[in-house]
Amino acid sequence: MNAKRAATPREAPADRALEETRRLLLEGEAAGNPLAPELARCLAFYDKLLRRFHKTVSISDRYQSQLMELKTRLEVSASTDLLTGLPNRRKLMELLGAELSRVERHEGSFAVLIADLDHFKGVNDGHGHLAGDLLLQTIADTLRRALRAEDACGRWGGEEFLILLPETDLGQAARVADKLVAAVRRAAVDWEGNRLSVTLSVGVAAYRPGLTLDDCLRLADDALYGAKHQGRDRYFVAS
Amino acid sequence: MRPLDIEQSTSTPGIRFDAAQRVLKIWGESYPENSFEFYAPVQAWLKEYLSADRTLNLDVNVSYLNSSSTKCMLDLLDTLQEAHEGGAAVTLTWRYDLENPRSLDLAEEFQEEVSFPFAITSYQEEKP
Repeated sequence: MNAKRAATPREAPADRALEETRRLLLEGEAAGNPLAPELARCLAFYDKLLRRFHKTVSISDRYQSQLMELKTRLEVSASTDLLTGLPNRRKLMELLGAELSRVERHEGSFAVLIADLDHFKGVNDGHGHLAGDLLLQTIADTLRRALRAEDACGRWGGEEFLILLPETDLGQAARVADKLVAAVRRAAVDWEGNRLSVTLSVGVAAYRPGLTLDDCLRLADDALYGAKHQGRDRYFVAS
Repeated sequence: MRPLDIEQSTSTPGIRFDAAQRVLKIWGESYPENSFEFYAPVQAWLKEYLSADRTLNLDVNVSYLNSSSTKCMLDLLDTLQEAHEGGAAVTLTWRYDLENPRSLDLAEEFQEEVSFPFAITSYQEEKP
């Protein structure tokens, strides 16, 4: 992490008490005031105390920045799926919630796709979990690359992905789903001399005024079931 | 010399004197409820030790100090600095985490306050 370093107050800001006492000391010394040496000692104590104060503040600021950087790293790791690097389910729920309140305020729309890899268990059973993990990572990259920057794509479950498409109606969402199904069909990984690939089934749903988040997710889930039921490797649009 | 052995807790560092090596170790994180109360016996012990024995290495491996602990740490360094100016052989080893980009800056902030030997060493450098 290359965060900008906090500026250190190397030069302490002007201190009025210090300046006044210095002036007083100079005058006292010039006038031969017998208290001048005492004043010089007090001035030295005060000067030291002041420098120590600035030092303590400067060090504390660095420790605070260290804590804040750690907090940022923890926030990222708490919202990221470790295997694919995509947003995790917790982060997706947060994004969905934010999108819902946005459209409720500004009369927009959004679509939700729930995508599930077909017969993925066969990859794990036939080639091992490492092969399955590699394929999952490849599919995650494939989906991410096929989407717009403003779309969110996260890992919803084991081999399930959720895609949130802001400002998208059902028809547009269906075209995106079609594109994703085709992209996954073409994706493959080489594993111990085998070419592993998988197909994708997608359920498509769109928000309508009055629906809750759970309603949208249920519609997308039911549509996914429709896609599976009709033979997989395809999308199905919620009615 | 009386022993000094404070067990480490979540919010307070472990502090132990190794009489054979003449090393005072401080390790962990420091954000006690009352830092001044926590460090007072350490400061008292240090002054008492330095009045009798003139050799000490302070070995610091602390990843976090809150503001009042920072003040207390600087006070400990003052005591060492005073002893150093009085001819004592005091040294300090400050250990920092290479993975933490700010911890070296912090070590240097403390180093600036003293003129006795102050070694800054990362954990990684110690690994063979």
